[in-house]
Amino acid sequence: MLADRLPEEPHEVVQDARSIDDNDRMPGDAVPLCELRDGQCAMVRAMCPNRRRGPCPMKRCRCEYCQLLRAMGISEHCRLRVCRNRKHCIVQVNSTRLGIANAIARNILVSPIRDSA
Amino acid sequence: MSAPPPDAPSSAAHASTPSDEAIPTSFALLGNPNTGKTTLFNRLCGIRARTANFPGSTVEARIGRIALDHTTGRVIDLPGIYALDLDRPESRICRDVLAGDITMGRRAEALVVVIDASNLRRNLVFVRQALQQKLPTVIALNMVDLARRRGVQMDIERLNTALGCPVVPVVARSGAGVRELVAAMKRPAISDLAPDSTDDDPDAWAQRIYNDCVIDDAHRAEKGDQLTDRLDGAFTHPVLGLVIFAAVMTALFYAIFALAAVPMELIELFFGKLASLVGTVLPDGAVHDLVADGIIGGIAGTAVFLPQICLLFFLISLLEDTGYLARAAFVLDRAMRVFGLPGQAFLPMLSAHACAIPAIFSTRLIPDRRDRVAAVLVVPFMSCSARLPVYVLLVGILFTDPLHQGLAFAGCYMLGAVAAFGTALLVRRTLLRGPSPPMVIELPTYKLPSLRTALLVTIERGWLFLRKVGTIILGICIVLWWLSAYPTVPEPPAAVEMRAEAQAIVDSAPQEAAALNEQAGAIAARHALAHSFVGRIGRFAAPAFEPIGLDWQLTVGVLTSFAAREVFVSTLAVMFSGGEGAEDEAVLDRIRTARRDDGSPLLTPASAASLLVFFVLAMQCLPTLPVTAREAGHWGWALLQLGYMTAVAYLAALVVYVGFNAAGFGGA
Repeated sequence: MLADRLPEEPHEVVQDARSIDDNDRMPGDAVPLCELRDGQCAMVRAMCPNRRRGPCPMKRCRCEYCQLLRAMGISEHCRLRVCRNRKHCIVQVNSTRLGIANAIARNILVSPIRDSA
Repeated sequence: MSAPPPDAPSSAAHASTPSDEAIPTSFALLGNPNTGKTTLFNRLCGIRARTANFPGSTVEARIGRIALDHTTGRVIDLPGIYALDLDRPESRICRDVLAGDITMGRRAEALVVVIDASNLRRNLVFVRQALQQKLPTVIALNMVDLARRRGVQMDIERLNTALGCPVVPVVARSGAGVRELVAAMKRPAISDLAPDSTDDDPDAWAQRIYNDCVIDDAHRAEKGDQLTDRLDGAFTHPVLGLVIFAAVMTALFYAIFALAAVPMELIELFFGKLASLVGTVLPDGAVHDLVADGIIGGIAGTAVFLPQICLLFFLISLLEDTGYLARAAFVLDRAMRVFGLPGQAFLPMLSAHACAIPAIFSTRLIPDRRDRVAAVLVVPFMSCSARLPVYVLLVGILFTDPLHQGLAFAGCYMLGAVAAFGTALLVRRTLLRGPSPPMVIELPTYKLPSLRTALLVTIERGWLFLRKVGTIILGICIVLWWLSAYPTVPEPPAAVEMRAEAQAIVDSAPQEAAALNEQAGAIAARHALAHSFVGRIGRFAAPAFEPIGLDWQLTVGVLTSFAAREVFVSTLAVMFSGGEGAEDEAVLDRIRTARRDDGSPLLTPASAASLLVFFVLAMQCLPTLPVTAREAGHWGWALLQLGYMTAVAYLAALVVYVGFNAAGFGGA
């Protein structure tokens, strides 16, 4: 499909230990958002649907998708909850619910965390 | 909201306020989508608002008047945006308005930033961008009731100090706090607290403000979240979601057609009486004909659809307010992407079943330009209300039992939808090639809809429809009336003889005399139409329509219906009965049993089927073309739409006509 023609080069996980609570992080590398289960909580690590090569620390990325997602509430180190993950993904960031196509969710790297809320 | 604690940090507010002599009277309303901005605008301005377009774009601006003590202020409702620095038309327009590059008649002197109290953290990032514009600002902290229910407690005074401008809690849906907001709008403040964006991360700034000003965010909303999860699970389910969508749309359409029937009849009755009144006031002649047939007939042809359009916008506004429509767009997105259309395109395609013109306007909510133009091009394929009289006539000729008639009706709607999706697929792979941005959509909180908002939207949209379309359709109908009324010709000898005979027996047999006069009138009307400019064009164009089974009489009907589709039936009624009361069963029977010049039936199953298919697929609404040209950005798109749809309709009608004849259904 036209919507799926997005680059899918392997991502290099961006580590930023300053704001990560080791007790919350589950073992293993970051995974694409689309692989989480319903109800799972996670912390966003990196994302760039438009990235061509190399890692993308989201803070510095100015591509349209990153800007829009950041403006809608998904930013680096933000915590989100996966409400529903089927053909598309519904996530909740604070009080905001966002519907995200899989083509974008596939390129958002997250670290699953235990729900400490 | 509680009072500030005694050990409040000394983050002193540095704000400057306009002098007493410079109280602003022109405000720009700014905010994220789904923050209640439109609801607040309606509270501030009511029906004292008008809709216009920002210069050089299809983005709408609503401009309203607000009472400010002894003067009247102006509020311009800017489009909802997530950020001012996005490369999107709406964001660019907001930047230009705030910079004074776009004024819409008067430059915005102050800002009212509407934020969602239940989603403060994200909205604070946007507030920072707004404060950096260095305009006098007031923050409308909306949905405080929702925030309270979710367990969020805020220190408004501290927020006021931290942001450096007035923060007014409001509940736009109920009107609570609006009076205080209007009072604060007279004293907005320019905040200089927002740090330079290169030195401080906006998220960190927003988090600091949030941590300082939110006392408790226990988020006692687990139950609400669970309910929302369950509802989302149903509404966005790949199968159940589509079933629910089909049920909701069926109910919507049933409501529209059922509830609009009586108002439509009343409108027709009103204009019929008006035309009769004109007949008693004006003497017979060109002026009488122009007013009664051209002007009143033209306006009536537009106004009769107003109930359906108003009901459609009313019900869609209610559905949108509940939060369901965003879920519907989300669940349809995946299916519609197969055809190169985004999920948001379903709403214009749905609206097109009432009328294509407001449906094309509503394609503005589609963010990507290629997606939007594709939707504009295919929307007229959806079977609109104007096609219904034609479907009734032709399906009635093809089938006699109600079951087959119902199936035929459904088939017409499906054929239009198939053509729409097929054309979208073709267009997105040829003329509008390119990737379609994947969907990212905010799913607003479920809530009870606001009747007040829905009513105001309906009034505004209905008036917009009447004003814009009425002028275009009226102009075209006047031209068409002139073409069908001139040149005038004397009555044919047969009609003259009948009138003479009627005159001779008017005293002895008045009823027979009246019947003879009626017959004479029908013959004269048909003779006049045949020799009018339209009739001559019909005879000239008839050979082109002969392959699909149409003679010159049906060709005249098709040509006149390019002004408005429903004119087809009334044109045939004029030809075969002398009157335009096409809903009269006797008139429809006369059309069904009418003959061609060679004595063969006017409408055979083959010609009726090909004509039906032609009407399903053809672009026979010239008023749609300027709207397409405007929304797609170029007249080339409108002409392409006309040519393509006419070609598809002709070819499909040809296949059907040849097929019916080959199958032995060519005769009566």
